[in-house]
Amino acid sequence: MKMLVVDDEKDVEILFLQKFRKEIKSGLLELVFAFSGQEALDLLSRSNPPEVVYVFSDINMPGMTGLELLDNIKMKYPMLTVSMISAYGDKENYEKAIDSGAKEFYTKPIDFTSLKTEISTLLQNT
Amino acid sequence: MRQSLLIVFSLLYAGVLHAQENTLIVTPEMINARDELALADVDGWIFREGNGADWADADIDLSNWNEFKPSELSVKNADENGKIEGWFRLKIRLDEAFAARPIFWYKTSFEAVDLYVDGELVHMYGKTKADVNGYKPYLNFKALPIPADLEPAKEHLIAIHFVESTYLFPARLKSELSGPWTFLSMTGQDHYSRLQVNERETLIFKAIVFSLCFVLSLFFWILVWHNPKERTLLLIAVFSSFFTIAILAGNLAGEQASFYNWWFYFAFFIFFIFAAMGILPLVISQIFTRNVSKKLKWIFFGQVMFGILNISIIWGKEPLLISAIVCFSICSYFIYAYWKSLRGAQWAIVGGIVLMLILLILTLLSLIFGIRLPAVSQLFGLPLPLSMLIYVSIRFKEMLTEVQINADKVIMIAEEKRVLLEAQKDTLEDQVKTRTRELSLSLENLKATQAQLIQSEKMASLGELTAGIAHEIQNPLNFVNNFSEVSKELLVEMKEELSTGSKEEAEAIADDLIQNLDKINHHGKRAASIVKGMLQHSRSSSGHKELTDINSLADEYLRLSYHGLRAKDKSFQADFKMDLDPHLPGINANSQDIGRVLLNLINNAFYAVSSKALSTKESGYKPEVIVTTSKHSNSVAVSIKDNGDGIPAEIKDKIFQPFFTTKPPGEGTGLGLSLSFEIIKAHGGEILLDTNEALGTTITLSLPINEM
Repeated sequence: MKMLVVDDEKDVEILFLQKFRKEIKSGLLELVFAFSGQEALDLLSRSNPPEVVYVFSDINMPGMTGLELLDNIKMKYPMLTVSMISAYGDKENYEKAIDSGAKEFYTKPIDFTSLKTEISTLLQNT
Repeated sequence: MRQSLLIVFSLLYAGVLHAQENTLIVTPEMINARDELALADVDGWIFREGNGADWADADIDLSNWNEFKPSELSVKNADENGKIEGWFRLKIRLDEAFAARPIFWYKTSFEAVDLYVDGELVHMYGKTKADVNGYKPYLNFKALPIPADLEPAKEHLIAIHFVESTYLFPARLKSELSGPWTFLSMTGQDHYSRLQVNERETLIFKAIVFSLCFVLSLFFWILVWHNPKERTLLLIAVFSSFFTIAILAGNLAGEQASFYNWWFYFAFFIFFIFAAMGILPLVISQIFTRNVSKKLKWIFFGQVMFGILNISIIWGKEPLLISAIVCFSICSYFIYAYWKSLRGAQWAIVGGIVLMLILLILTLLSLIFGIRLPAVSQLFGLPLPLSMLIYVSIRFKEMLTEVQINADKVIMIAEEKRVLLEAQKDTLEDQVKTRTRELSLSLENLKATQAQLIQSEKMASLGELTAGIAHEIQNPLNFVNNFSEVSKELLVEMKEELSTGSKEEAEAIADDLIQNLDKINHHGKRAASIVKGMLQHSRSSSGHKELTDINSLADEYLRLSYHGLRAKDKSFQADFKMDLDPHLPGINANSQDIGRVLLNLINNAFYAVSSKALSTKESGYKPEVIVTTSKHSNSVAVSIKDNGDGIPAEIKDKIFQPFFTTKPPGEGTGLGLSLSFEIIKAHGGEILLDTNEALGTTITLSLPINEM
């Protein structure tokens, strides 16, 4: 399963690679990274239909925000599963994300346990 | 009827006879009174109009002669040409007393007269020739009396042939000017010698009066020349001149060199007397009231016109009298009205007028009573001009005194002012000291308030940042936590790998661990630096300058600002870009101050773009803030560019003023930009503003690169 992580903090890449070390090693999970909304869209459009099946995006990003990215993805690729994460776990952001079709809404710091659970659920479904 | 006529005739005849039989006995007593006997008014004269060759003879028919005195002659006797011609006869006998004393004939009136004694022509006064050209009035009044060759105690017949004509000169005036004694009189030796003396004295006195008046006039005019603004002097000078001209004309008229000149000078004399009497009230008014009313000026013109009228038509004493009465009435009115307020020099004029009046009355009385005034009466002309001289001199003295008093006053006032000024100076100094104390106190208060304000501005901007800071700290802390957690997991894995003996795998994990620890360290430092920056921001500026990396400051504060605003307002939407010159040198600056400036400017930029995002109808508007750093020859520049609505021209000049804000009340202190401006100025840099309502605003900070 190919998963796209979108965050403007570049260290997220190292962190995710280490956190999902075993899953990657076993070939169950493939991680790709984008550091802005636009980059994410570019990456998704490289193949049609996209190889990515799961997008995990931060909301607070300069330029295109995660919520905009969510709208864009849901418009172009309605089948994709998207989860959002934000430093601010406020109701407003949460509702907006869920309304726009996000599967889950996470609050920073990332709870990797629940993320892993979700990913394993997704893996089982495929 | 015939009888009654006869009676009338006989009576008339008897009268005539009586008259002719009536001989005038001249006694020394009759002459002694004035040493002069006016013959015109004595009884015994008989008269016949016309002329006859033998009318001087003793034995002629006197039936056509009437009893008539020369003093009874008047204009009525003149024919249609104004001419009167006739003969007077008088029988006269001198008292024996005259054997020892000589007696003289004397005449001072205008008629041409031929004097016959006992039928013999004794003297011709003027020319009695019947034809117009031959006639000449008698004018030589200064001629001395001529001896009367009369035998005492013997009866003599005096016959006078006289002609008076008005064709050259009004008879009316002549007759009126002639007193009874002027026709013909008999005078004694005393009178003769007195006349001789009188003539000399008169000449001397006339000369004195004229020269004095002339000199005075000249003097007054010189005064006028030097004091052209003094109207009093001008009026006095004019009066004095009129008066002097009148005197000169009168004197010349008395010299009667020829008839025409005499007439001319006489008219001149009359005119200037009128003029002088006309101007006198003006002089008095000016001296008493310092003013000449319009009425008085009209009266003056009236007097002058009246004088001209008199000379050209009336020829009488009455106009002169009326003019004199008018003149002295007005003068008297002024003296009466201002009597109580009169002072000093004005009394001189009063004195002059009163004296003049007394002398005038004396003259009038002498005319009425037929008294010949002594030569000294010529001095009657002096009191008025002299009183004016006295007035002028006293007035000048008064003026000098006034000037002296005024000068003293000025000195006194100046002295008072000086004392007052000194007192005021002391008061002022005290006041200045008090005010200075108060001012320095309030200055201290102000400084304290200012410090408080600056502090609250800092706190306010810090407050705005709290959420951003929290986010900015949370991010690295998350990484610290995440990396430490994952490292722990990695270590567990590594132990497993080591126990299974896969050394390569363990080494790879160890490499990851090293990297993770680096990340933990990096993000820990990142959080620490943000906390440090926040503390610095709230701390008061130390003014200490150090080598500062503008790029990292710009980066840090751009993020802080962005996340702060983002955290505060969920609807906030903006993009930011950084274009930082990697070769930017460090500059010597107070980093917290510069950071504060950057934060302020970036906050403003975000505020501008998010405001536009909310209000704009422009579709596809992308709010964006771009921070650029660049190096110039001796400075570094930081530009903060936004694509907001720009700054309206009308407030462009105000944005750096303290307390100026466009934000709603309570949202901004209005101190941000003014403090930024102060800080940049203190660093020797400058803030450039480039704003456009369509393109947005670019604020550029320029900071000098100083030698360390």
